[in-house]
Amino acid sequence: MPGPGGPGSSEDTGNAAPVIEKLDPLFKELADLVGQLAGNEAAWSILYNQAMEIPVGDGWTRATTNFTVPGTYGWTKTKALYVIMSADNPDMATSEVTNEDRERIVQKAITDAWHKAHDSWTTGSVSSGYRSTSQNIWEPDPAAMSGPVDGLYYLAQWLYRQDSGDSPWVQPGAEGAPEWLTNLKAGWPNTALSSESFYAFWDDVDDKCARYAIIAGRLAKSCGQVTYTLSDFQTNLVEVTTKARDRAKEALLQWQTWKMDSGAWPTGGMTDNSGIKMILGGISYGAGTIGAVPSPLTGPLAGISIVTGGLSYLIEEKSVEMEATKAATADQISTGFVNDLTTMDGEMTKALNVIRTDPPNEHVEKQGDRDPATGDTGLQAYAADVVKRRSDLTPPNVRL
Amino acid sequence: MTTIDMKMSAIYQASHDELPRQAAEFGAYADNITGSIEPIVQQIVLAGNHPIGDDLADISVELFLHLRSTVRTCNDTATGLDGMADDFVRVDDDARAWFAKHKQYVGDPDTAPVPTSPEV
Repeated sequence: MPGPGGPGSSEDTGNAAPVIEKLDPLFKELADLVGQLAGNEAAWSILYNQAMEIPVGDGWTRATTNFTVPGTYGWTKTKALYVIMSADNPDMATSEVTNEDRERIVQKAITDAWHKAHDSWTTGSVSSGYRSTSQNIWEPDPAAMSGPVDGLYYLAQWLYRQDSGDSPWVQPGAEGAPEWLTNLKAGWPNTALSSESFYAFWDDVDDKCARYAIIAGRLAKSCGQVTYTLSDFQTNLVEVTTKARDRAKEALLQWQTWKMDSGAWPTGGMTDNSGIKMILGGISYGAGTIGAVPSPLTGPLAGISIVTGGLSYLIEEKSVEMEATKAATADQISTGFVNDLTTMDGEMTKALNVIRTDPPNEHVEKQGDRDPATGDTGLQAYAADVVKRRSDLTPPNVRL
Repeated sequence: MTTIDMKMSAIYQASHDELPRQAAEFGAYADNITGSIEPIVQQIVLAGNHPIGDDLADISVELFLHLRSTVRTCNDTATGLDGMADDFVRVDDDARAWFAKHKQYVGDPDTAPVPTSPEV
């Protein structure tokens, strides 16, 4: 909503596609990849049993053949052991089940177990669970807030200008007084219905506007900080989801590597990704935002762009390690990712808490970024103070 | 400019031009508060309904009330001054003669609509 007389900004709002349009395919892809991991784990269980667990008595032995495990990251014709009847088994000639049948049975068991495990992740509520866990982050539309924030900036600046040197808000006859005002006072000094109250009201407008400008400035800046925070957490959400997706892919590639190259069974020891860190927010995050959004009374006269091209990460060294990037199995990756989403939700609340409760001046490093008018009070306390001062801030009555 | 010309011009300019213009501008900015804070708070509600939305709404409502008060005062003053001038025209020959030459001031001044308060 553009400010009247101010530069329009409504065209800046709502153009960006909702972030959920990026997230939904990622959530579904992650669920599919996690499902493929679960499928591999189920297939591996069968192959491990065939190779290691099933006891082999007299007349039975283990043989090597090629099995196929389904999936985008599956493996085909990989050599594996399975239990067959040995040639010296007395039942060999009469057995209704041939060793070729046994190979087909094992292959079918692998395929069925893989699909059952995979489908339990993709056809269930897994991706919608990711969606609902992160809803507080993706559902707000910061782009729809950007134009309104600019509108509040224009309001603050317009109010501020009312107190400029050439403002008409003076007593009749004073320097800068409009001619009609001076003539009004001169021509209607003793009218019974009039009084000095109109001139007192008129003369007070610039003083009141100066005070309103400070309030509007704090309002605009705080709204900007909130918008910035929501926008950044959405950026982080996409990044975090992408990282979790990539981790699931990496785990699947490791399965392929084990089976395709070395032929060794996975031991559960995965690549150590503990060095990978993702920013999930943090208590310093909101504080960083406080300094990043300029006050309309000290910043540029035009509106600020807080959604597009904003800083992705404000306090990089305050990153929080993602659980999902450390995980290897399907359950670990998915549970870790849900935990990451829950952490993000909590961190976003904390970031908003900082904006709400902390005096902004406590979080700005540069002297020039300090807000001398309102910066020593948290927003919550400041709002209460503005309400408390209502009668003091109300324009004087005019009694005609 | 004659005395009556100065006197009548001043009051009618105030009531029909200057005060309505100021009322309209303050009213537009008051509406701007409503148009700005409502979508902002709506999005904050979606962000887990964080209580910071209430603080922002409280501040914006206070600002709105003060700007609306200014709009009403400008409107009421315009109407009051117009009434005073019209009364004077009825009893003063010079004023009546002046008014007869300034038809643009016939009727009531255009008062600004009272701005719509935020529903937050």
